[in-house]
Amino acid sequence: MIIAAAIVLLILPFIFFRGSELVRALRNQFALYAFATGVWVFTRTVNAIDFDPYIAIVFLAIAQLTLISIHLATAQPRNLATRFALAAALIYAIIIPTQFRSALDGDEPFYLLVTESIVHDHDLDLANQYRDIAKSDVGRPDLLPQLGDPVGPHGEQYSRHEPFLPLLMVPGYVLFGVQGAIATIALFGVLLVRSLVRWLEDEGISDATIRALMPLIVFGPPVVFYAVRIWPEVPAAFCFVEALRGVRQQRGQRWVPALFALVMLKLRFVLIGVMLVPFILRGRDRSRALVAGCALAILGLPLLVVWLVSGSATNVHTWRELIPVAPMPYVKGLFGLILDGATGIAFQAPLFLLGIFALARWRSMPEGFRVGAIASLLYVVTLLPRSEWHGGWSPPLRYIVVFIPLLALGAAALYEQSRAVRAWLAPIAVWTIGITAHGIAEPWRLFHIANGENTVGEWLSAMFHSDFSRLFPSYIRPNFAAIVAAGVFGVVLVVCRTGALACPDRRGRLSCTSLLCAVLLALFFHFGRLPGDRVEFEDAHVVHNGGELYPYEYQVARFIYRGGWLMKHGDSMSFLAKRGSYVLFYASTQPAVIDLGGHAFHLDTAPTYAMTIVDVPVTGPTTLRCLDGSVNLDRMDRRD
Amino acid sequence: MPDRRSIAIAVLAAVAAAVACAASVQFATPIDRALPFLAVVVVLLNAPVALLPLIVVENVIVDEPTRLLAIGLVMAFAFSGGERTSRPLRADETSAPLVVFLAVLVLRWIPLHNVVIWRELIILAGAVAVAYVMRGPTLAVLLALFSPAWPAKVAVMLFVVAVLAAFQLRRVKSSRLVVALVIAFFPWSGVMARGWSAFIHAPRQGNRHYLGYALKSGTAMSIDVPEHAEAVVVSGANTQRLPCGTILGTINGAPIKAPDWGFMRREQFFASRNCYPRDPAGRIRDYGWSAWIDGAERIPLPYGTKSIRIAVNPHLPKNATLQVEAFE
Repeated sequence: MIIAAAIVLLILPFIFFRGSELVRALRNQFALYAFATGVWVFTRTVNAIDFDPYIAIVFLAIAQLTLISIHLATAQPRNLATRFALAAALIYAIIIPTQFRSALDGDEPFYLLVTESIVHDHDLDLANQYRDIAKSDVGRPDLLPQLGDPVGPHGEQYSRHEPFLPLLMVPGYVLFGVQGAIATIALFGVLLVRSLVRWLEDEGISDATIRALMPLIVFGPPVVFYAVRIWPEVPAAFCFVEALRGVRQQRGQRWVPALFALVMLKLRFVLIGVMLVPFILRGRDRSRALVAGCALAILGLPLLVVWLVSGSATNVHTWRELIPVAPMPYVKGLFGLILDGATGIAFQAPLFLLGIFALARWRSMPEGFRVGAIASLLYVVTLLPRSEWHGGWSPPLRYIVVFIPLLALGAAALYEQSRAVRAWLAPIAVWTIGITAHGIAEPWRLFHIANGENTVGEWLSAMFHSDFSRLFPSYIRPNFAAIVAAGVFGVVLVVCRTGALACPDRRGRLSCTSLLCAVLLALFFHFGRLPGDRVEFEDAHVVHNGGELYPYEYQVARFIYRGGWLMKHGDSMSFLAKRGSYVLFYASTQPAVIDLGGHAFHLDTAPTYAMTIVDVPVTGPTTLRCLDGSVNLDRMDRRD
Repeated sequence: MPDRRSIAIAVLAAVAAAVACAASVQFATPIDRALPFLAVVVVLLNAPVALLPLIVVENVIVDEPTRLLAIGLVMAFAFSGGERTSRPLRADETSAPLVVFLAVLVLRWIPLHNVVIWRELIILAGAVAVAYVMRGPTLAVLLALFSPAWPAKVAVMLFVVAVLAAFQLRRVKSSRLVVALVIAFFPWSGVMARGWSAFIHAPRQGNRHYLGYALKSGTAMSIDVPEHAEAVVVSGANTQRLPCGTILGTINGAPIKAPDWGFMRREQFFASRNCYPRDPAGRIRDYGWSAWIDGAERIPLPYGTKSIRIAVNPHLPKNATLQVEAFE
């Protein structure tokens, strides 16, 4: 695999460059290899061994890719769409094997199981697949039907997932098995890249901007992670771009198949199709009825298919989900999608945050962006109040991957319009490189329980035994940082209109954005080491000696539970806490006695969560012991 | 010429970067404590994005060699071009003297308390002059790395010759790779300068049973060998003037050739005639240009040896000793 990666990285300059540019790119590539070899030799000399060689190789490959991308920003290749598509094909091809370090997870095995059933049994009944799951190519002998999966009148076991994606994967699966199925998705990723570049060009984005941003879009999260795993999001993103292009160009040959495939991939994408209908009809006088009929037929087809498979046109969903609810879930969902530390755009794919900021400059944005934004409105509004807005057990940004092309267009347009935005590209690139390397090196970490912590927060908390997670905004488990982040976001959105997001000097030689980030980073590490005002007992900064996580990690829809740590007699935990009085939230089916910092507290029976006042005598590491009974400890909030 | 606003922004940026990095210092090594200075260098190189990994590395990597190497790599990134989205100071542009000035400070002036100012000023001025003449930093940085501060007259002569040669070498293109590679190892620049053989034969240490004997010339002693010991670690003391390969004594009749323990120190290296050990068992000591590897040599023992008799060469100088450091 290392050799394959090296060959692919060697081929990449030939795709983008010619003549002296090619020589320069190759020279830089060999120079970086020489440099890496020098570093490797020296690591032996100085005995610097505290790193994983696999991660080091991943970082080297990404450094090479970064070098090519930097070089690309200053080069002048033409026909960018095809070149980026070729590059994406090669890169995705070498990333696919890295994902096999962990088993298929989330919805992936179920999609593959349906493909298997189509190929072997020519039906959608998975009952026999579940019976002989050990013989399946899925590689998940523990797989069981998902909660709420449709069951047929004769005991047929269907999947809740639409069968269109499994159908698309059939040729790949027949030819190359699981790898072939994933390669099918990667192929859609390649098509997405080509279509996206074409769309950006159609919407008037300059080549220079495309060259600067596309590497981050193509090789960065979330596209890269969804293009090498079995999810319908990347094919849907491709169909969305094609549908938008078709609508903008008024070309039925483009939007009809694209819209058809989009709504067939997932029922929820019908909401996008519905919003596209007015744009499809716009400007048509004579054939309006025919086009409207065609569009409605396309939108109705997935409902029919789902009804035939599951017996219900809405499958596991209900029409009630479309009815507006109280405003607070919308607020949480909206800011969560944008700012959440674990699943928000700002932390998982910061480049696309520029696409959100582009909304502040609505009038100056390309027509395609505005059409796309309106088309996505119903889908987003329906998604926001759902308890699963963050995507559940999946790689981050699952439900909004389909809009990544749209956000990319907004980001590109804003990048062209604002010099201040361009100054943010370097910190964004550094963060993106880090996330990409992490996801490729440790693909299992792409999945994270929705407990309010993120991978970085957990890692630092575990390292320092101090609550770093509280410094990341969480809308899954709302915290103070979430309020601050929402405020800052609002201010930035307003400021974005003025373009004062950076302070470059007249010659643009020194940008303050990186400095600002550096100062914030230093403050982050400083305050991260101090005790906070809240202790969540299941978090990584708490050192647990006994007890267990509640609910357990793989609990279905775990995010709807109130988490905690179950303790029984003899268990203890220690954590960093400030001196003072706290409100302790707990649940217990029997009376329990705990010891906190040398003081004993009696906890009454509380089948649902209850509160009691406890004291921490001194600031610093504090130990909590369960002296008697058993108790589910949720959290502890400081009162003063 | 930069205007007042640019200068003011640069100064403010440097101060902010230094303060941010000063607040991030977590460890006590001179390299860690020099983080604010490195932050200023990064800002002057117009690569402020390098501040982010610098702060992260300092905070999250506990293992000392790995952390220092990571800091070196970040600095190499800053010197090799840094933030290309704005206009960076590039190694092959007219900013070469500034790049060299900063590179010499990074390579040779950490730790500051070990710096003999007037000697280092000679080297700094010489390196900047070479860079100015050559319009590129590579040769100047290499000269600055390898030139000795002791004796100073050698450094002066070296740079006079280098400046004259630089006029002839102007056509040679500078390589950012070389500068980056040198900077990457700045936490141990002294080892790079004086102990480059360590790249081929990296020193290693096994489990040691320490002895700590210093035997004068003409003396002899017997020592019982502990169970499982495979080698004895020895070195010379006050033997740095002896030619390479001088026999310091014998172990059970076999000759002992070992360098002086401290011959790689910056003050002694130029005057020393010793060679890097064939089977090095020393440790890297100190940091920056003061870093050096002690000259401990590993002498393997035949399998099953129960005791050894060490006899010191009676022809060694009067103050020379053979140090028997440990069994491994």
